[in-house]
Amino acid sequence: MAVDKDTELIEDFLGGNDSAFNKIAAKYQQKIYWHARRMLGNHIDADEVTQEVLIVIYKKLKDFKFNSSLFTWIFRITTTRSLNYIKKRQAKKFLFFLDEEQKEIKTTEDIIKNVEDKEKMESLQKVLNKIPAKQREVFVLRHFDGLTYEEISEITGKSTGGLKANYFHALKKVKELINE
Amino acid sequence: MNNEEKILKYFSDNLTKEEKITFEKEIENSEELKLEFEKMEKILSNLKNNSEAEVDDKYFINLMPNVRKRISKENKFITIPRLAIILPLVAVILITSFIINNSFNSGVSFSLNDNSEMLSEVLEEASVNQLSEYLDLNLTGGETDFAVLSNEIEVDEDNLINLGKSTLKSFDEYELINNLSEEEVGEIYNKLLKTKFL
Repeated sequence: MAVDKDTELIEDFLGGNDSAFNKIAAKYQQKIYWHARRMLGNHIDADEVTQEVLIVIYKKLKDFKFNSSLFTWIFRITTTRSLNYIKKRQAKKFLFFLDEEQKEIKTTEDIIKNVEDKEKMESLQKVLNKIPAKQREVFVLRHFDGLTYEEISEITGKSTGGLKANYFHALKKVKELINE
Repeated sequence: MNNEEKILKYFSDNLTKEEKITFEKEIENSEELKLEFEKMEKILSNLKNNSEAEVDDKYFINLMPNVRKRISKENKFITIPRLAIILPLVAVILITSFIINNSFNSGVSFSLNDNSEMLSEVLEEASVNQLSEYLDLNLTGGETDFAVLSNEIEVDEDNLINLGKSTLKSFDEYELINNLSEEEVGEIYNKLLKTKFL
């Protein structure tokens, strides 16, 4: 049913109703943001990726072939952008010798206002940030976004066997980090 | 396979159906495994709880307007560099085609007619060096045909006569030009054209 609604919205948008895109964005923006946030670890970067993803969707929606669901397509863009952003950030850190202090300054802006929630989120991010990016991606998609291996496979293009192995190693790392 | 591995395989769905059934039975029978299993279960559930936070709704309300601003900004940004490339390119093409067109259409006559001052200077200089030398060495007689000459170098006949007069009077051999044959005059002017204008 959700897919049909998406198809309707896409056709409406492609038919010239620009405001139909607002409905698509409203439906997926939180999913995009939280995936990016868990992958990147702070609001500023997650916001940047979320906006980038929405811009890409807006520009590329005319090329959407309906070969997959809109949800899968959007998540494919989101995961790719998030991983690319991590790579860019690492390169930047390496080139400009950014230290942890500079990183902390960057993370002061946030949409989480409640102090307790903020602390919980920070402790989660400390763990997630220590998991290698590709394992983190599978862990976030399965554990937090609630996707099945088959859905993740469709998004990432990896085999379910490989994804299971990644998830296994991510879990092992999480356990080690929590027990530290 | 140790307990930890079994638990991680269970949670990551890396066990076969049979292995899963066997593992669930083991949990019921082993207090140690059960504790370890519950510990892992708690870790995962805590992680999930920690990710649920109350957020400032304004962010999501303002997200699309911000995205739309960026889209229109990006569109402007794309247009400006395009114009920055296209406009100079068009200018270069127009200027080049104008120059080429002029060169092909008007040829030497254009240069000569429009640059009579320059021509006069060039002829003056050339006549001293080349014409006088030629006249000294090789006067064969005959009459100068300014009509042929003017045709050769594509300038107006009257202009050429005046030019010739003003040029040659400097060394007082103007009248000698009347003795040049068509061929000789043609040769001289062809030389002049080659060395001075081509």
